[in-house]
Amino acid sequence: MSHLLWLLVGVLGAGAAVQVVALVVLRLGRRMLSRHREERRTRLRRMLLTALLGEGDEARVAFAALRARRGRSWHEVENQALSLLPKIKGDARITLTALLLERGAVRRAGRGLRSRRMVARAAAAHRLGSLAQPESTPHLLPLLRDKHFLVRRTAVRALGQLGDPAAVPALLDAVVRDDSLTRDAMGTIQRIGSAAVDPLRAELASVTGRGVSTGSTGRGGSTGRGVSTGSTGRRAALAATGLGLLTDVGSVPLLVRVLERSRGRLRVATAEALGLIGSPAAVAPLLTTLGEGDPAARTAAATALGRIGSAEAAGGLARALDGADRDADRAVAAALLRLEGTGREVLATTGSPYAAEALAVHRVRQDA
Amino acid sequence: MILLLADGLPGGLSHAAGDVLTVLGWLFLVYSLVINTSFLALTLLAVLDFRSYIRRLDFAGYDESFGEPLTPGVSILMPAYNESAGIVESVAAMSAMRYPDFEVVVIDDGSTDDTVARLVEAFDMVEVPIVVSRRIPTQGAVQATYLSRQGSHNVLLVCKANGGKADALNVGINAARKPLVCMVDADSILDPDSLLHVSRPFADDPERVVASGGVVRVANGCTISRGRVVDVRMPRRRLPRIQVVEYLRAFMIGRAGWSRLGGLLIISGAFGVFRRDVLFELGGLAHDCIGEDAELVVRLHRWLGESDVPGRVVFVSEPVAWTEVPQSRAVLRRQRRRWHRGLAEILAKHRGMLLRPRYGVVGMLALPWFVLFELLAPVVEVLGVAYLAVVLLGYAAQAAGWLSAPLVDPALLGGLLAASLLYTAVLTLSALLVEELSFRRYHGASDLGRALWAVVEENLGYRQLTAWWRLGGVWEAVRRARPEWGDMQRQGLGKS
Repeated sequence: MSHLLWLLVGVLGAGAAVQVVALVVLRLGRRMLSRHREERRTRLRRMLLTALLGEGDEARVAFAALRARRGRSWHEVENQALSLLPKIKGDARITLTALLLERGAVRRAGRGLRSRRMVARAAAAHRLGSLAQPESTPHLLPLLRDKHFLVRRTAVRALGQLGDPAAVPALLDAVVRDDSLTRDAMGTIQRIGSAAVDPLRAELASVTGRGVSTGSTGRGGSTGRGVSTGSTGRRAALAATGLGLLTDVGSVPLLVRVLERSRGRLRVATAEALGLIGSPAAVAPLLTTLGEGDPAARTAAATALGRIGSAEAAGGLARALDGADRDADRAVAAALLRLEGTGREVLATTGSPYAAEALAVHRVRQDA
Repeated sequence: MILLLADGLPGGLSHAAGDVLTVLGWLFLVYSLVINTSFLALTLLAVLDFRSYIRRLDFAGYDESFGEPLTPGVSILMPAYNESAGIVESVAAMSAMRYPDFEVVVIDDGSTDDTVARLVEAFDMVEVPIVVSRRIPTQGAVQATYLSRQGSHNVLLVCKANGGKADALNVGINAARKPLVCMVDADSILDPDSLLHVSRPFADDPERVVASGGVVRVANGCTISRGRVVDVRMPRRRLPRIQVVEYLRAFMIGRAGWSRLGGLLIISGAFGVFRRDVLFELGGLAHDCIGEDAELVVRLHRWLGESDVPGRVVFVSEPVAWTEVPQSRAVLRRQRRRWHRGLAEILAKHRGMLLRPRYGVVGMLALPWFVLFELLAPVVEVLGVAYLAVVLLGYAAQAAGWLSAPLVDPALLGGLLAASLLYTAVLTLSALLVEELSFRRYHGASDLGRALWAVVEENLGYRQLTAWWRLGGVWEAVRRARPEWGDMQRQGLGKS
């Protein structure tokens, strides 16, 4: 038994010694290595910038030197160039992209997409995003189903850099499968811009003919959690959010129709979208939403009415300042404040503490 | 006692005492092996967590996150009681965090110094009737609310009658105007991007993530400028130096490991983010418990289990809060007694969760582990020290001719001690190695030397002393003695 014990002591002692040596080597070795790497990186970056932004012979010489690199030396250039690409615009970007395409960067990234290593797939998606070639979309879409979250997220972001609206339905599918991608997908839709409007409208229109409920709204319920009850409703809510972020005025009639027929999260998303777009045509349906029971929908409607800023909403907002829900009351008071003249008159006459708060905060901001 | 029995008695009884002590020695070793192996498993889990962090650095796009839509607003709650000396700098640093939508809510818990006056003057604050709801019942009444006229007017001061830290935080939750609530100590120093990182899980998984906590590191020895840590160094003083390696092992590695398992029980009061609606559901922080931050997380798990809510409490390894740790034995003693008393009270209060499958990993694994290896660890450690004393006295008695043979074979005792101490050292070195391979906050050979020396020092009196203090905490909890709060008596950090 005691032999075993001393064997254990020996193993632990050896382990501790190895760890100490590893720590020393890592600490000292890394310092030297990182200094060396940094120097090389700085030299290369300078050369790239000279080639792209320099003038005359100096730029031509630097460009030729970059182009002449082969093997590992070229890989360093490619890595630097890809990290530089999203930060530059205009001719410099066109020149650099052309150089990377000429040297097969897309082909290499495409090979990376099929790698068994998760990091290699994510890196490849990241590279395709930086290169922003529209023909890469079909190669990136399968990555939205990758088993690794990092790969899925990188693919979502890359699609935003490509700006191809064909990716929108697949993006919505990806978010329905994995809520975690919501924020990235919405950012991507924003980057795609107005080209994303048509597929988003199509998604939203698909629910107008059926019952549109997406469960609780994430506030006011006993648990405060949202419960998704259907992928169609979820897709529609995402589409509504996307249209709002794109401030697509042409979608207002459709959003109003959905607002009038929907419940739950979709209703909140639609109200928020109408507020972001800021169309006065939405005032009446938003006032109806404001008069209903769901606190999250009321808060969203009040915020939207404040953003639209139509004096017509003052009466409805004043009636909604009923103390039933703190967040809704605060949103209503903030909305009245944004209506200026009429709204502030209402705030001054109502006895709601949230009205007094809104006016006092407003005075502080005015004084500053 | 054993010596007295052995003394002058026939060899049979002396041998019996020796056998008992030998068996006890093996039992201590088994306990040590099990606790250290479980920590090693947590370290491996933490390595997986950190590895995925390092891997995603190139693609995570944290800079892009700043401008993304749907970033949830955060209310930073800073309870303050007689914090006049550093409050202005702390609030200024908090109000300059890199985050698109946040407010700083300072809750003055009836300070008797000029904390309020200094804040009002420094941030050009005016009294404004901000509505502080009573959704969470509180003890100390709200007396006044102030809003800053500077910058983006995102500093709010709530003055209330004294009611303790938990009460101040509850008032802060009632006053918060954003969907996420970040609780920090008034003297915590946050890295500028830490809010951005720690709130990320809420945006990523809004349906399930209910709380997230960040790493808390030791600020002693570092250079602080305008409320920011600008140069990270190992402290030169013994106690803070040891606490650096202790924090790395227990707070960074341990919590990352538990988070990976889904059993994170503690989010430090120095830096934790919660969903405000969930805090309302829970009724805020408990007044009747010393470790109110840890109690809140355990209660949160309880609520998740009882409501069948698939919520997640996560630990995020990249955002960093820095805190000053005790430099004197007296303050450290008070802190450790308080922490352990808090742990004992929490485990007693929520004992119904133990070994109950409905609470998942928390009920079946995390809580039993905390009972066996956190709550009872000081009892075993102190007994181990007493055991060692008895065996050493036995050797002295043998040398004096009062005993014919040693009670425990000296080689065996040496082996038991060496195995136990070396395993602890291996564990702490693993934590240092993980830090070196992941975040690498410390640089230079001299800092590494200090860290390695701290690994040795920790076992030479520090662990034994803290075990004794923690045992005192358990005893206080058993007696339900009036808690000894004491002041932190901060020495001040290295400001440039």
